[in-house]
Amino acid sequence: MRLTVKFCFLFLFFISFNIKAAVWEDNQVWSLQYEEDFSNWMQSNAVNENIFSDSKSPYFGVSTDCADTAYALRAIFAFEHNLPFAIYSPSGSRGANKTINNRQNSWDNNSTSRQRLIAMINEIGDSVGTENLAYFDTFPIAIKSITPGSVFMYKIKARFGNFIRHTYNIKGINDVGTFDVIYSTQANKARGLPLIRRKDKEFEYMPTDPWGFRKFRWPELLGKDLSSVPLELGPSTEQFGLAQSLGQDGFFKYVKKTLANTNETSSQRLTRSFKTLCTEAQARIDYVNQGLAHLKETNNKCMSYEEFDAYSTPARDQTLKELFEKLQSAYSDLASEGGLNTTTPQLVEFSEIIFKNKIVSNTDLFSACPIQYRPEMSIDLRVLWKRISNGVLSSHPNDSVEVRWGETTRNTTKCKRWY
Amino acid sequence: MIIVVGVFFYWLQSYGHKSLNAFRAFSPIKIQEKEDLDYSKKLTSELLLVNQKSDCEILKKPYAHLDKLKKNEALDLRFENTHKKIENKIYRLRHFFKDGDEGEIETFLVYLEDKAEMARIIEKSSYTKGQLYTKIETTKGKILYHEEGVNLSENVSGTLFLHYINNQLMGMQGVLQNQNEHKNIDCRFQQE
Repeated sequence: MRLTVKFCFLFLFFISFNIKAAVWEDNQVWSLQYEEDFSNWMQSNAVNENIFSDSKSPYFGVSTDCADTAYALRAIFAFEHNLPFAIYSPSGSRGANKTINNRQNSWDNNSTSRQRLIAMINEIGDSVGTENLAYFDTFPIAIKSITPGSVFMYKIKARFGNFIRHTYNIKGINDVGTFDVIYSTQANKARGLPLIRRKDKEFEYMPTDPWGFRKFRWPELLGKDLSSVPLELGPSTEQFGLAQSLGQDGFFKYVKKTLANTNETSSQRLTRSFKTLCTEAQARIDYVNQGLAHLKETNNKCMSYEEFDAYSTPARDQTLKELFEKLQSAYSDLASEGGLNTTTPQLVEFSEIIFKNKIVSNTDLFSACPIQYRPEMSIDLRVLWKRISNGVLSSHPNDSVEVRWGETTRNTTKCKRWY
Repeated sequence: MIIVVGVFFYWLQSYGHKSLNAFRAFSPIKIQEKEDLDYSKKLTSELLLVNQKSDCEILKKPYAHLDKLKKNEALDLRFENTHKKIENKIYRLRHFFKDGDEGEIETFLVYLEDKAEMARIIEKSSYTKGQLYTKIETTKGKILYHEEGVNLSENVSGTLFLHYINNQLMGMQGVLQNQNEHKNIDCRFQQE
């Protein structure tokens, strides 16, 4: 009898501490030191492309598109350091609690704090977008205050008045002032793919208030004026004025110069531009193939708005075109400086083959950047640039692989182009 | 006796914990001495903080009430949250735009609140013509709360985002542009 009573007591005691549990208990507060630690953590290998997709990762099961990734990384750091995590409640609130935060017990059907964290992140992901991040949970910063852990967000007007928004998480700042970024997309989320990383990123779209370089608000700063943010964190709207006065190229040159530890020579710029271009050109193979795989799954059905959005590539194709133009500009600048003989001769040759139709019998351009977009069909950057310049690449996800890559312009899809 | 103690623990965790959480403020800001850190070197001397509290109070006047603004301006609705009591249950309806790869996806969510006003999603849907929410009859019930975020004056230098709760202005961010001025602002206001 006594044993039974003891058992009952232990059982009740146990369930009382497990049924209603916070996501995690915080016993630290955000400080400048923790911001620096967050910055270091973002740069570390702990934050990598497979953090959510590798079944051995402690955060396997987190599912994020672009803005959600920023929230997820911030929440994970807070969790690992017993810090509070809070965001403005996306569905609103009538009571005193205006946030979704780690102290809530909404996810206590999960037994461990890590599982509760993953459940919380995924629910946040369903309720928010880049607009929440910009309007409520981050603040704009001065250029000098951009650090790993800051985010860069943009909003552009695309075709038919449609808006495109995106969030990049700054993982590192390279010596020459370019960015190492990690991010996700809707298509990535849908297919459970690893995060996307670009180690040498230059942003294309300049800040337009309130979109631009921003940092997370500490929980106690949610819903407070920008003037309430400690100056040491760099709250500032200067980037918007600078973008307006300097224009897109001038603004990003200023950012690069401000953040760089060393000056990038024109020769280095040519090398970097070529590498970046090659990475994006090859990445298009995956973007197109993801659409083709989806088509196969759906028996070539015309894509809905949402599917079209995930698997079409108009903005990404535009970015690819701009990267070709950046390489061209890097080559022209080097030529006008009389520096063509100061760089790798091969890169000069590649640029001339791509942009000047220089005929070279034995070139390594193909092996330097092969683009094999279907079995037994590979092209080099010269062919790709020719197709892009002629406007024959298709961004429509219902088109065949040949049409997507501009190999042919016949038999294009009759499915609706949503934008 | 033991069972009573156990029940007390259970109550403390289930209700006491919630009420404590709801009212427990986050700890105050802890700013370490500048001398301890390298951050002072990163400070910019040309901070352009135009949104001191007094500025914000002056700037808010023309935008203070959404219903009046709607009569005079073309607004772009960015999100809308409505809390409704229907048959003794409180639902939250959320309409917003998810980020797509190449555009934006109009999205509708329905949440159901528990007794502690914690809301959990019970329906997720992208826009389908003629059908927004399926779990509840939206014409029924009493509105308890209404929140909207709207964009005003989309232009090359940015937008002005205005945030309202129950028709009262809670925040304004972005670019404020008229004939005489062009200001980048980030103002938040407390509920009256």
